[in-house]
Amino acid sequence: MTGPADDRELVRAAQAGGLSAFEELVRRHQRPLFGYLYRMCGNPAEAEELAQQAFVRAWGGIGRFRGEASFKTWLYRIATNLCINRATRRKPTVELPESLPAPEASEPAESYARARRVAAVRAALEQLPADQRAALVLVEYEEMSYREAARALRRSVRAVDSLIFRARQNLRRLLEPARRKGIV
Amino acid sequence: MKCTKVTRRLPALLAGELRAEEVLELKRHLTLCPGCRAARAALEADSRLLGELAAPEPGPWFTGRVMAEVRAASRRSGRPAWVRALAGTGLAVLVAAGVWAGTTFGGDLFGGGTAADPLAVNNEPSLTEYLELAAGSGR
Repeated sequence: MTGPADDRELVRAAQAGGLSAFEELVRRHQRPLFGYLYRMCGNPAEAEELAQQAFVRAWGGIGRFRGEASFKTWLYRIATNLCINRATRRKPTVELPESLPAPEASEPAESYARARRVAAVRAALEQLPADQRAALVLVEYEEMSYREAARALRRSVRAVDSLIFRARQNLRRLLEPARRKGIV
Repeated sequence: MKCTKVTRRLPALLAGELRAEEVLELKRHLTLCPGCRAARAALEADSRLLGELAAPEPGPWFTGRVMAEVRAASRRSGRPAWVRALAGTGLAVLVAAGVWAGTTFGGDLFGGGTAADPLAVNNEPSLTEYLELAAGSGR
């Protein structure tokens, strides 16, 4: 009995024109890719649009994919480029935790407090420079190693190390007002 | 090891990116230094906060929409080679026929065009006339 095909086999089949193999790659990677883009841009509709564009571009370029990096890393590189290009064209829309409506009487205090914490984290993430945010999200949420993140960002491992350090410092500074107010 | 170097390496320590001997050296420092321990605890607290930002799922029709786009892109660019060859040949035949007709029938073939300005059609002024008119109106 043969197990499910690995990404390399699916990529080879897709390179030969196999749409069903590519569809399997989409199914495998859509959820984490969407999560990555959601944390990058903070908006589910935009994340979905960018994820769709990333897959379509991946299909368009799959013939040139040589497999030096994994399909996942290559896909995230495409998605990161799309996301950073878009981020440079629009201003961030930061939803501050203070702007959350007051809790409903029926809403438990803990769930309201959690919603405020999440809003504070999202706002802080969105205010990070795009390259720092990308490095942090890839390592913290996607659990990529620095080497994998470096490939996805087309940077050196040393540059990723530096981006993560600065992202962490900035995140701490950006969360400071929420910390003083007891939100986080 | 100095505190500045330790705090610089703490994110990489938490990410499991350091070599074993560097980990040992940092841990030795951390047992002795309350300031660096506080810095590590702060980073760990930030990681827990980041962990609270869950991502929603993509919509239920996401795969279908992606694949519809992919199929459309394939149709646009991935026509069989013989279709592309035929299309190329057809274009060459059209261009050759146009050149032959132009030299054989002069500018009258397309209804009012002149040999001097093949872009002109019907009763519209030729490109040269447009330019002259534009230059005249600017005077």
